[in-house]
Amino acid sequence: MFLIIQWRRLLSKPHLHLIALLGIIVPLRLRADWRQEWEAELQHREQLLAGWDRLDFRNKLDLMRRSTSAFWDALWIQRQRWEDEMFQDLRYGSRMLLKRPGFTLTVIFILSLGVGASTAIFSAVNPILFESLPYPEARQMMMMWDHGPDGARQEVTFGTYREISERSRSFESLTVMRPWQPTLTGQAEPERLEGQRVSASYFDVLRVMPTLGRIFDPSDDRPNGAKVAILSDKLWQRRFGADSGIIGRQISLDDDNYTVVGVMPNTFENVLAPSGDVWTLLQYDSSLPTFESREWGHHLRMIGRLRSGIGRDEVSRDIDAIARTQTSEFPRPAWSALKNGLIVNSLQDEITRDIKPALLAIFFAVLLVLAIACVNVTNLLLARGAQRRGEFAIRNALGAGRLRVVRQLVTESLLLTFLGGALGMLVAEFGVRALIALSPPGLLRASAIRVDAAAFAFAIVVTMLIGIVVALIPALHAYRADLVGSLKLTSRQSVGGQQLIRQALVVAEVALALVLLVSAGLLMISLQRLFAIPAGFNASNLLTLRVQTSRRFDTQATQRFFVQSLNAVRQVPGVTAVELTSQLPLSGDVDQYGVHFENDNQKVGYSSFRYAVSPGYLEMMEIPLRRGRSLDSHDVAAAPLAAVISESLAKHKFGDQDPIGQRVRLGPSDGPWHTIVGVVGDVKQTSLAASDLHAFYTTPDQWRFSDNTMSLVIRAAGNTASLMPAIREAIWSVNKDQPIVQVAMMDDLLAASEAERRFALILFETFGLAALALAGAGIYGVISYSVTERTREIGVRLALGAERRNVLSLIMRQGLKLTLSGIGLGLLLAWAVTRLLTNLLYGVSATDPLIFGGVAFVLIVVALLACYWPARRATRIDPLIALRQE
Amino acid sequence: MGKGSLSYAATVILQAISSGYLYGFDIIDITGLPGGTVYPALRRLEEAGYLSSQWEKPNIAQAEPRPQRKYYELTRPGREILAEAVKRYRLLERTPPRKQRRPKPSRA
Repeated sequence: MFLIIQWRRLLSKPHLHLIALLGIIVPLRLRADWRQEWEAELQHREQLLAGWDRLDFRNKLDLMRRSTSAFWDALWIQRQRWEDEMFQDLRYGSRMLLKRPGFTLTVIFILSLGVGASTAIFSAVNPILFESLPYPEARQMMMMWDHGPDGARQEVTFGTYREISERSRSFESLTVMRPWQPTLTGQAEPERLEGQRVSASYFDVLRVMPTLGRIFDPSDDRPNGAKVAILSDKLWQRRFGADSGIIGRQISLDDDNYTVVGVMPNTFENVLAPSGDVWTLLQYDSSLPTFESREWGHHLRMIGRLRSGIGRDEVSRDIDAIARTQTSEFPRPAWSALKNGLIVNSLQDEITRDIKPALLAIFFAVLLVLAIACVNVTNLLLARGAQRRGEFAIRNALGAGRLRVVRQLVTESLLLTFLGGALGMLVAEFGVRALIALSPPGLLRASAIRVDAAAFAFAIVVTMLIGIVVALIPALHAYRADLVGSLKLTSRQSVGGQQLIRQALVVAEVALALVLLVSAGLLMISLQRLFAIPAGFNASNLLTLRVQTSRRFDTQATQRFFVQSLNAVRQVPGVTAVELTSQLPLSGDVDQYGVHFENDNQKVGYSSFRYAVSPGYLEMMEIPLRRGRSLDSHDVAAAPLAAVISESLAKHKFGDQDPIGQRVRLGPSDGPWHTIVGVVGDVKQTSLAASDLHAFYTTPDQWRFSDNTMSLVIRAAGNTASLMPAIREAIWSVNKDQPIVQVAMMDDLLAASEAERRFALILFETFGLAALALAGAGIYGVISYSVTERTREIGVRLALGAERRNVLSLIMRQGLKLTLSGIGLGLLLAWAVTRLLTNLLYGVSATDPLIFGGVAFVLIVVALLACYWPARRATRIDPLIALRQE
Repeated sequence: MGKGSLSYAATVILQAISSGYLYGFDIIDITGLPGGTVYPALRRLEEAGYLSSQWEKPNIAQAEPRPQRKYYELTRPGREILAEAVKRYRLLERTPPRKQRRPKPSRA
């Protein structure tokens, strides 16, 4: 009803109401004057015409127009005021901030850490998770996988690639690739390069053009085609002095001459092989001669660029249809029959698949820290606002409007936020450097991690959001507060509402800190459990050295080289043992073969790691012998073929029966039979968390192929690492053209194998500790403030005979109540949130009660410590002084 | 607003006041300028010290009855700058002679 009356009144003289409305932006001191003059003007017009009710529409409209023209007048006056008073606010604000340097620095410090840390993390996460890949129309790029026997992703065969590229109409271009590590020889010392063998269409799919020369010519992509290479800008600069005459020149890779046809631009980022420096053609046979050829091996990665207008659903349907209908033109072997179709997914999703959970978790963690920082600063500002009640009341009494006081507060908060944000940018810059230094090796798109425009925008948005949060809550408070009342009030308390908000903030802070600490705790336990897992061998003080021999070497030359190297290294003083292995545990080597047992009808063999090792390797690595014998020097080429298998493989096939004497075929199904002579303990090959432990060992002599890359494992008395120069000399004394491609202590390999988890853990630990400190400070602040406020009350209690012990427990109880509420809320939150971490955890449940309980306990201890000082201060209150204060 | 940089509208308004059109809506009527131009200009001129203003007593307006008027008056600098500006805007020199209507608080 009231509204209707209001509405009628509004309709009766809308032009006057408009003036009233516009008057709001005119400074109060001028407003009455201003309004009166404008209203007089409009009434004058109205009088000249007739009464409002008798006016026609056109005249009414004219009056309205006249009233709105007052807007410019009002604005003009307004502008002056804004400028004047804003500068006044800023000046005054800066003065207030300078007067309390401790408070100011604390707030700026907290804010800059919050902004800095979150910006740094954002700049790392952004290129990987949110930005599209650095290629034109990257959304159209898809990656395809075959289904392995267990349903997991498996690389495709060249045959599948041929069939899809002939039959599918969804792709503009399609390419396959595999890693390639050629050795570059020439004037400088031999160097092993990282590179890729690709089909000719590789750079078409990426849509990247070389700065020099050309991309590959499809007519060269056939067996025995021209040997051509494209170099990365980095390699071109480093090894060829950025010589623009490089095109057409021959370089020696794996002792073959390759003609350089192109150099890629330095902006080219190769997400499919981030450290790739050289590309050559795959040169597979498109006619797919037999199923036994390499064209039918599952070892290629396939990516394609969709025609414009084709989406992921359409291409999936297309590929499914092709997989279901086999044609006579494209026969398929059993292992590449595409029975379950292919997995088709965007390239972006595929290459971020492994790291995404960790990065998202870290990103959310840093946002939590930011939230805690905001809460903390808000709390500090509220406390400060409360201390300044008297000041505000005086200003109010001297004629400052309530809004004016609030604006003063907002200006100060914003000033703090922007100082914090600016400093935060610096923090971010350092944070990014630290992140790059800490990041696991081979982190995708590490080169794209920098504080760029996007990160800058993120920081600004975050700063502004903080500004709003941090400024508004205290400002609203000040606005609602009874300013006149506070002039009268000194220590007696009437600000219950304010305390309530501050307490709620502390509860939120404790809850958020708990979530972070629980996450950090879970990760820490995971890593501990992981490193507690025995690797299956003795990794301490073990030097490893990977040597790659020339492709020109025939089998005999290769074996001779390795045997001679082994003997040469044995002669190095200090070396106590040295052996050879074809693959090194936890080093990134993955060399698996199918194993077929005699009298076993299974078509697909047990996938097992293959080790060709020198006799004595098993003993030297301290891999325990479970049954039978180890490999020894009698297992030479001419002797009966022997094999040692891992415990896990033996159990899987034979259960508790004795496998010794059984025969197995290792690798291709047309191979010879080996007799199992022993069973040894399991060794972790891919990672400590790995569950695939099937393995077999033979001597290099008895393995049907020869390995041109082998690793030496060396033990010495004392520090093995210091022997490195002598060992290198020894190997080069055999043949100086053979590159040592990787030297590492086994301990380091072990640590690196869990680098991703460790990376996540370090960040979570840092954030967790920051959260703990902030939460502690928050509790301290609130309790300490409340003690100040209750000085008189406590004084009365003490005067009436309360024991100091009672006062202590009174204050402590108050803090504990807040902490426990926070913990309760936090436990619920953590319970809901930690399951997002599941992928990063090992051997611990996402809701592990021990961690939850432990963290809650730690928080309680911190809270008690934070309450203790203010509480002790409360007990020292002198009742006489407290009572006299009023 | 520096000396001699008086806008045409401001000059017209000063001229109107010096000619005896002394309050807002009177000035609007005689100059034909819209209120959204005249009022801001009056505030600017007053702030610059070329004008001074004064509200008439409410009982006078009530007696008529009409809205209360705020009377403006040229200050000495106002008269000087007007004289200068009129020399620039030659057209204004030929405006009708002064319509002597000084405010008489006792009556008007």
